Amino acid sequence: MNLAHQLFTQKKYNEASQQISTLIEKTSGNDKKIVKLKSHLALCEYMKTGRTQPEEYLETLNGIVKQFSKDLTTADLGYVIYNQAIVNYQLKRYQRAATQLESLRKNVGSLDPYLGFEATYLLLKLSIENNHISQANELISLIENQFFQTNTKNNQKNSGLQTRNQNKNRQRLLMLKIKLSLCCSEHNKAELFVNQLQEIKNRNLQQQKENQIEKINEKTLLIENLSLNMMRCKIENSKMNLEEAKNNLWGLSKTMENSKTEERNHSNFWSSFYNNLGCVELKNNKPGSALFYFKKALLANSQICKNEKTVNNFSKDKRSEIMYNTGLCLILLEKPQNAFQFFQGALVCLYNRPRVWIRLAECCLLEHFRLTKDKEQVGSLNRLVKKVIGQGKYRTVILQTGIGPNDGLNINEESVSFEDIVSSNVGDLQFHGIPVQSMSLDYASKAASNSILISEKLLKIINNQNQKTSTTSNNNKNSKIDENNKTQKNEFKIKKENENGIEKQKNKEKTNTNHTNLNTLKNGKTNIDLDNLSKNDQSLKQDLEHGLLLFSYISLCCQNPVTALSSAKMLLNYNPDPYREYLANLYAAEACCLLNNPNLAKEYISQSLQKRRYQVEKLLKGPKNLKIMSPKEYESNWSDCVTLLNLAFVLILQNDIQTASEYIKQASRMFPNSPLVLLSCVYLELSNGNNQNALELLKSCHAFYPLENSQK
Amino acid sequence: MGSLIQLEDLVKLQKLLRDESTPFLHIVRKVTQNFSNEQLFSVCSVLTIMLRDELLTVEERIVALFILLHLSPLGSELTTGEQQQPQKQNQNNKNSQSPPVVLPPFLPVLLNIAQNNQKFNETQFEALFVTIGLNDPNSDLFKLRPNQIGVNNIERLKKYFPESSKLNLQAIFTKFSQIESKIPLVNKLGIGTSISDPEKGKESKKNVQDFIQNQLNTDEFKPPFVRPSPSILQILDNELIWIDYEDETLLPIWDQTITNVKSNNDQFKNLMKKAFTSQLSQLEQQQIILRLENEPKLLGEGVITPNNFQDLVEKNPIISFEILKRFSEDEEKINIYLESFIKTNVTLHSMEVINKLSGARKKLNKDFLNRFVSNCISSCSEITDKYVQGRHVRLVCAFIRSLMNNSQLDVKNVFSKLQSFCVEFSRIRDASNLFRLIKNQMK
Repeated sequence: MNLAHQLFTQKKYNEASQQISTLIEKTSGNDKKIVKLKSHLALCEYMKTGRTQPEEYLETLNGIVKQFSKDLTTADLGYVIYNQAIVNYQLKRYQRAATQLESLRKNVGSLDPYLGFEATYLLLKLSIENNHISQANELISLIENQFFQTNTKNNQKNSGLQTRNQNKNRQRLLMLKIKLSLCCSEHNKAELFVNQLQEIKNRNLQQQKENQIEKINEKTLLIENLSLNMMRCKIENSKMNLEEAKNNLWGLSKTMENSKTEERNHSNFWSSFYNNLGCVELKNNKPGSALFYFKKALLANSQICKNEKTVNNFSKDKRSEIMYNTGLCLILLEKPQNAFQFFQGALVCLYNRPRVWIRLAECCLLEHFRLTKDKEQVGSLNRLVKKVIGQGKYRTVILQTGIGPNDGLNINEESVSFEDIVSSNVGDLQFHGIPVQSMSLDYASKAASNSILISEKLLKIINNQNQKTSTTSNNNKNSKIDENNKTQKNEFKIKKENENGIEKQKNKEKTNTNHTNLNTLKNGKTNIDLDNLSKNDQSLKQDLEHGLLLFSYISLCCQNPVTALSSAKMLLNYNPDPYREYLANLYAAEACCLLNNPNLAKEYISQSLQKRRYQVEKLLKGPKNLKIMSPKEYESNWSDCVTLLNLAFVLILQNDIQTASEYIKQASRMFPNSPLVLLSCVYLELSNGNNQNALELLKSCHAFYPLENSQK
Repeated sequence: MGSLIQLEDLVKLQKLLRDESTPFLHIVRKVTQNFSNEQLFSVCSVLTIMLRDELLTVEERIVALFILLHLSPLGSELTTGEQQQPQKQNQNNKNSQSPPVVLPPFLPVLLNIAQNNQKFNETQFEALFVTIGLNDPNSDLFKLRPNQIGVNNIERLKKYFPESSKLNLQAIFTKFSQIESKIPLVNKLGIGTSISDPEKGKESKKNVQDFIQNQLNTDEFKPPFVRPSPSILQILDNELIWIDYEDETLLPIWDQTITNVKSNNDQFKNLMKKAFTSQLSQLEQQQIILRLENEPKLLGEGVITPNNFQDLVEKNPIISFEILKRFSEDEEKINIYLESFIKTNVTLHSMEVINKLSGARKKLNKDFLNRFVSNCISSCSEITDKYVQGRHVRLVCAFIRSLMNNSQLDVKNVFSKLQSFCVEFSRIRDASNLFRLIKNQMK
């Protein structure tokens, strides 16, 4: 076995394979040994192909696990499971990798310490990449407690990991801590870790110099990475202005150009460099310039793809991430169609991020608004009058119908040809394998519903973890008391109380294990506790709320009041901010009207009345500079006018025309030239049989004179 | 929404409406020949709009009404006389699952006309015409050509009016009101989209085809329910993805651990040897416990003996407890190991192990317990440092209380020793409390 390992480390994979095959023939009976030999053989075969056939390797490992899982424990199959996870991770199948690593984490006590550390480290890396903050924190404390013992001299000598490895692993952990702190917007903390890491690096470099070891490549790479992180911290902490950051980035690029790093690493560097430069520009509110850099980043990234198709290159391909940034840029540049394509590209790897789905739904909606506005502009002044026909006593005015929020983007998705899927142009760049769907309200609704499902699932995980953490923290507190042996008072009592606590917690967990799925959308109920979320998980809550709001709105546009009402109800159950509460109430009210329940609609509208003031404030702060959205939506008083018009609508449904007309009059005093107000006034007059008054109203606001002119 | 009918079809329909020289029944046949079944609904809709918006001449209206009458025939349920009603009701009672009556979609237009005979003479004529048609769609009247009837000649029309009307208008209206109640209120809000706006000056007849092209759709004019759109979610600072320049290459790992059973046992033995001399890390403790759980035979490998057991108790009490727990099946073996507790000095760790064992095991050896408690008591007197002694006494008190709570200790056997212990250390509150507890138990 040792010979095989030596051959393997010398990259003599063929010889190693042969050696292992001979060993397999000789071995019989010992399952553990057979598992090990088979997995080694698979690894040799995989390395022989230059890691270009990960699927075959995975298949072999799956076969081994399947064959021996009955007789052997997870710990016995630990290395096989880890290797499965690592290949899945490199193939960006994060969910699968996480599941495999989670099974190892549960048995970390029985794993070989080296494997235990690597598995937990990779799981931590995954958690950070997937923004599972609470899980990441939990894993960091697990690593620190279990793998970095510094208590006694004895422990240091005999700890599972050798001191040499420990130092290296400490550095790796510090890098992840920096990443996590940046994820959580804890920039001061991140800066502190960066400084710690910097110190370690300096010490190491000093040692290397003393030992006359030249590792230029590694040195340069580490410095680059550190500098990037340092800069990011400074930017986030506002200690460095953005111009300075840009100069620093350019400085770094020059260092990189002069460095002796391998050629293949260059494209990797340039793609991250241009992407980060784009981020700085976008923060600097220069989306045009940011777009330029993101495109350059994508070009540099495409070089990675052109290189040999190894798993490693695949994992270094950051196309999805850069595409997501580009999509954000294009939204700010009001190009929803292009942004939509880029977000679709981002989906390839970031499909489990609710925010990507939200952005996709928003792109569809922005296009929907644009089309609606275009249609309004076609008959700008004849918003209400479609045509005037006949002359003299035959003169007839035909009113416009069918223009409204439902009349924009197509509802149904168009089928996409196979060629579109295989190769597609995104902006000026051509990509392969990106499924480009057409924009439609149906797609928007699916995207919104995906964002709801994912954010709900993630929040549920966080909820469960929070509960577990509170249990273990109780446990730890009490076990510390046990271990200390200093506080001897009530020593035995505490243990019992602790056990009771665990039982209570278990019962709580049992009650919370019901899965939330789309069924919850049907009844509008929720079972996630969103009150005790940490600051970092608040954005997830925001995603869930916004997803529900979008879903409700899109459902109304697709004329599906049932789902619109249930998602609005679900959103209201989550106690959203006043702005979302206001809109959810309005959407619920409209759905109730469509479902023949004007009384309930009235209740929802009256609830929205209470929130409208906040809504105006919020809308004024709302999305920056997007002209696609009607400017009227940001005017103060508009929300009052909306509520009055909608109340009037409900009253008309209830046949209370008199009160309805009073509300409409109030609305018309606020916005006399609004087509929506005028439309309501005209309707009232017509339904009362006052055709002349209706015509007067239309004439007074010049609703159809341009038409007449064009006829003449 | 698109137009209901193509222009060429509209021209065709208008031509048929103007054909006065063909009998009514033949006109209907031509309609069914010229338009497919799918198109007939649109044709009827167009005719309805034309009638409503008065886009037809009086002659054309009569033809249009006849087409509607023939394409929207009443079911036999609604054309039966009043006398047949009770019978019908009985049948309905017997079979409440009878299929619902299907009403032709354009019947309301015809019924409105049949009811409306007040406004104009033409409409009276039309009302009579429609009523005859509803009563008997195959009436002799319809064998005539439109120009033979003579428009507005009510007297001629009356000749064809049947003496006994089969029509049950009341039943039809009741049915309609039932259906209407199910229509959403919002759908009832719609009103026509055309407003007559006569003006002085040059008169020009309406261009019907132009009108129809613009107007013939199912849309209606409704008041708006304003639906403000949700705003775009603001781009958060951490939403932009900053890419770290990573050089770390993760590779599958070669399993370098030693797999054969012998080596594994050696590993366990080494770990156990270490456990006798130093405190193990949490991970190492877990490793030992897991190995013991999976392979209890490892205990018989000779690493652990009663002689070195106390070293283990002092360095790693949790592991010693786990080992004793596994010995508990074998009464003889556990007694040998427990004996080692008597032979050595009482310490915090030894008390902790015995206490845990008393909680986990059904019954500990009484003799051993009495001796151990006696040792505990005497160990207190041996300590000279007052502070340390006080702490030790409190610990012993807590230990004895726990044994009593677990019903392991029979106080009667050690009462005198306990009493003197409590009296000796009565200055310590725990001891006096213990004394009260013992006294209560003795009662």
